[in-house]
Amino acid sequence: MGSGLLYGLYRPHTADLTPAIAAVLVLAAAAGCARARSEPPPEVVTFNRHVAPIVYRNCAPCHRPGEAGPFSLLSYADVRKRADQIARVTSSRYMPPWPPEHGYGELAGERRLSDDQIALLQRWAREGAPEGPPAEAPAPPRFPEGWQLGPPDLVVEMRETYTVPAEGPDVFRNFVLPVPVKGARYVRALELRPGDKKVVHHANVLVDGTGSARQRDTSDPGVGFAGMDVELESDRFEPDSHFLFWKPGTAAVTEPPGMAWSLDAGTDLVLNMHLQPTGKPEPIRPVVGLYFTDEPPTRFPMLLQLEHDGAIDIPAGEKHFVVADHYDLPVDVEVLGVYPHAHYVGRDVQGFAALPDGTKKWLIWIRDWDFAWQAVYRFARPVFLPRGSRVEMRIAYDNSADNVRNPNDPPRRVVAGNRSTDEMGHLWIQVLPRQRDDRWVLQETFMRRRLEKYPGDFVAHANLAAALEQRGQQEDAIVEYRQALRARPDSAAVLNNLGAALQASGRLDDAVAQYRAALRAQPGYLNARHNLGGALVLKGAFVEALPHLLDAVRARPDDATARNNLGGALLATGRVEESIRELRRAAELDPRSLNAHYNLGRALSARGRVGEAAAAFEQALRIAPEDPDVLQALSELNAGRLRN
Amino acid sequence: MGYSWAGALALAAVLDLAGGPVDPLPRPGAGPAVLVFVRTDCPIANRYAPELRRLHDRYARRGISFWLVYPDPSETPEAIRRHQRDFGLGFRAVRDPQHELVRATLVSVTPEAAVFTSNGAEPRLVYRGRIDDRYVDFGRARPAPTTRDLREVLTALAAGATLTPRTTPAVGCFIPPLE
Repeated sequence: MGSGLLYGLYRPHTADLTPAIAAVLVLAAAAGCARARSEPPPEVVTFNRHVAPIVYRNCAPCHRPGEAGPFSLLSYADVRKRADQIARVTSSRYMPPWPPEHGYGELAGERRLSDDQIALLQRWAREGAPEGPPAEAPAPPRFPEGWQLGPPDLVVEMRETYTVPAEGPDVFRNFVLPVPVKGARYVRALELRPGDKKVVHHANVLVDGTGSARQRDTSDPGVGFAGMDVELESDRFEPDSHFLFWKPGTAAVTEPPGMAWSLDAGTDLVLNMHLQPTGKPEPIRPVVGLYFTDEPPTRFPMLLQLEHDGAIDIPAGEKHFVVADHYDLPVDVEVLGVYPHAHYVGRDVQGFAALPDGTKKWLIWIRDWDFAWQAVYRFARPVFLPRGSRVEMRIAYDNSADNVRNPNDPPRRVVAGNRSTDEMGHLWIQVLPRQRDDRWVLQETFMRRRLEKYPGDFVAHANLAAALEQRGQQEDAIVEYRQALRARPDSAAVLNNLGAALQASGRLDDAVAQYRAALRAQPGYLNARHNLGGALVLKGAFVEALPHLLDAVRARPDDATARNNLGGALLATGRVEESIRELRRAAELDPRSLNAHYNLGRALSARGRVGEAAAAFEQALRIAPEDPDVLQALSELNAGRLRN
Repeated sequence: MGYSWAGALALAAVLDLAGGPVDPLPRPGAGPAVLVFVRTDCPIANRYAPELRRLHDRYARRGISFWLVYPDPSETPEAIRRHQRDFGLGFRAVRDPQHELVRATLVSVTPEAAVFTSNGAEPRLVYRGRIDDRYVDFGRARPAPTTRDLREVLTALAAGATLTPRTTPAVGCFIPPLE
């Protein structure tokens, strides 16, 4: 009876174990007026004619109530009072904050003043900050209130309030927000309202489908857990292809058409936040608004991380220490954005590409790196890089006492790590290959490059295995999974994936052993429990399978695959009524599930409910018209009808 | 290089939060006075609130009087009281709407400190400048100060030392000129 049942595995079991970052687009709305226009200098510089347009466009988005700027710049009175300070901070280019060098990568939303504009502001301040004729006054800027994209489809809040201490060094804290979605949703936009924007300096939103951040949260006292950078283990690939980054002045922006990312039930959002003490205790409670779409993604970007943290070992006092990395693109790509990242000792950050014809194409150059103003940068237009291009990163560090941001006084040897006294040097590059499957070619070569830097590396072997598995090279994938386990024997995600790869190559007993090992390593790991249940069913061990399948359904009541597996096992153990209930629910949850309709037909037919069974089989045939199991079952059913 | 100020000063328009005239400078024979210029919306000044509180708690009972000076005429007594409450700055505050104290001390930013002694007949400015050297420029700050200038001055005064007047550069929000 059980032989004809179909079961679902959680597939693909890809591993993406690199630190996840993902993303709200950097606001491009207030595009900076950076073009230097050579106009003759005016006779009199006035607020109404010259200064207001500059300030309203470039300063007011943050310098207004509720935003990050400490004071408002929304009127003549506001600006006049600060004229000297504005002249000073704009001439040093501290404000508006825009660290990248102009002309080294064409970036969207460049919030940068031209030399002429800066000269105007200085002259205006020097000449007594006159207002000018009221008739020339531009309308004060207006900004939308509340959620920038209207009411979100889902609002996710932190359960507790975290209080930033009044003083001390900057705080790097990670908060876990469970997302109550049922089934998978496609996210087209995400807006973070971080709480007091004078406190929150920037935030990355990470997507955690394994509960690993939740575990870390429980082992760290207080709300959230500490750490400047977070590495999440994940057995999914998709979400980590997006930048989800917030900084002051950023609003939610819809992902480009066709680039929604998928969010599964049971997933947590992790807010990786940089918080600045203000002088008084500051309670914060960030809120995330999610905007969904029914349109599945059609374009699949990927994040490549250039880095060589293993080479970061900077002697105390060293003024110029360079860390570099490169990667040769195996396919054509468009570069959509970059996210450079270093800590306080980093000084000069460069990202560029060497094209096959020998030309050098700049992506970004930050000459005076400031951790506090790190950001995701998107290109004004996608940057095409042909196959064979080499993307490169060069980061220079100053670990001398001359670097005032040096976290150690006196300077000490600095190595890689995620505390503020450690360093990092990363350049994340978001690329869009021509075809979805090109990502597996990218992933494979990228991980092979990583193995050149770090022989035996867990992350590289695990991801390489996943890429090989995706490309149908099961045996090579199994070898790589085993290599990954040599580095980290109790990685539940890799044990589970190895099990799935073994199962796919027909080694069911070996697969069961790996699923069991995954559950020993992490008893709450549902994908492994689900897969173990499914594998035991395939072995005919229905009774043994049932508790695992029940757990899987209890944990994910809206998961059609889990319901189908449970229904199948119940049917096989003779619990037909319960089986019908589960399978009906599975078919409701996923009307396109061949397995659910087919198994439901078998269950109904076992109960003699011939008409309903025939309807279920016919539904299955609508999904897969040629499926031999369904055709066979339907013909048996019809033969039985004739006999009766 | 020290800046030294001495001489009679008529403070006609320095006001307490009730609107009455007040003179925060030390009278002849009285202990030293430290004036810290702040404003309610200056993030750099606000970040120093815990350090100012510590200095107050430590030196006020050793005969040094502490004053917060709010030089922006548009900051109301209500806003100043709220600011003091929010940041736990529970010492005396004065408004300097006509910049009499600004001119007398030549402070230019918030936060900036001015320390007076009164060994002789008139108050004497012995220190003007930063609280410590954490801020090097706008957007350029050390993770922790390497020199705590104001604390050193107060320690010396509390020990009864006579100081040569000196100044240090302060980094902070410019004090806007009067209309």
